[in-house]
Amino acid sequence: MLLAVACAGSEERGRRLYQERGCAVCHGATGRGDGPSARRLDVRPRDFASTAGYTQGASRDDIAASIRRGAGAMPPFRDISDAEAKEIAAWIVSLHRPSGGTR
Amino acid sequence: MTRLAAAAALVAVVACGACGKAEPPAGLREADRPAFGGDFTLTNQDDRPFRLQDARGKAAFLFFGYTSCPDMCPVTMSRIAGAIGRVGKAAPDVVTLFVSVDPERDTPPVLKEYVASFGIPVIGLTGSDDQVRRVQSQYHASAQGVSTGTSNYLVNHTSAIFLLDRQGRLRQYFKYDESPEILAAALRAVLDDQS
Repeated sequence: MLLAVACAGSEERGRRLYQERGCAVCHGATGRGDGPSARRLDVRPRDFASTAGYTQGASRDDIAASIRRGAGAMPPFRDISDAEAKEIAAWIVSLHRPSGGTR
Repeated sequence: MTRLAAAAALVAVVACGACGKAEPPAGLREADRPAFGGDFTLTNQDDRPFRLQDARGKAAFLFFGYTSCPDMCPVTMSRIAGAIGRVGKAAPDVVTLFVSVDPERDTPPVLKEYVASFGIPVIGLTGSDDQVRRVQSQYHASAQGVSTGTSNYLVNHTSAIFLLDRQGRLRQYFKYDESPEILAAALRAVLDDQS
């Protein structure tokens, strides 16, 4: 129970950080890869709901590493601390479709 | 140093915004300052005229970018947001001015959607090619379209982050990947300065 509450808190902080840092510009407000910049990018930003395309792993730690190191066409966001990246990643993991099987 | 020489030196540093730490314009003699920065009028994301003076009373980060930028702009805006998040209760006294270097595609409605994607107040600014070029010139910034072989051309542009004080005076500038901590420290100093 305590763990569940802690996870929910992390996801909420992650959602706020996602919004504050402008991740939605490419990935969209709900993480579907449909942000305002996405329509003119040659490589479509990740739709977080679908884990099929997560070539660098879809776990929270994998996603946090991708945020900080970059992944594919996404540049590295080294200004985002490891702790912050993990919180953003926790929110992203919460968006995975159950059929993705990686939660 | 003559005003022209000072400007030339600054152009060299700003044009290479990602290459090294720029010396702050605050280090220039007072007489050289008018050659750098200054007021301007563009069109905001609500399709209304915006003068730099409209932001008077607030400190401002100013950045030249474009909404379909795949790398530099989102990284820089994240750093600016991180810096503003570090000044606590003073955050409402800060605004970010995003001046588009791609006015053809970055119309007010496009900018409106873009600036709404950030959790900080951002004013998106565009205008005619001439208007935007004039502002770039004031800040010794440059931009040039680059074909990618697809319909989605890129724009090479000056990447510096400019920090303006509450009177709209250029106080300092930074390379695009300056840490949010350094940006926040400079921002705090500007916010605390009542001059």
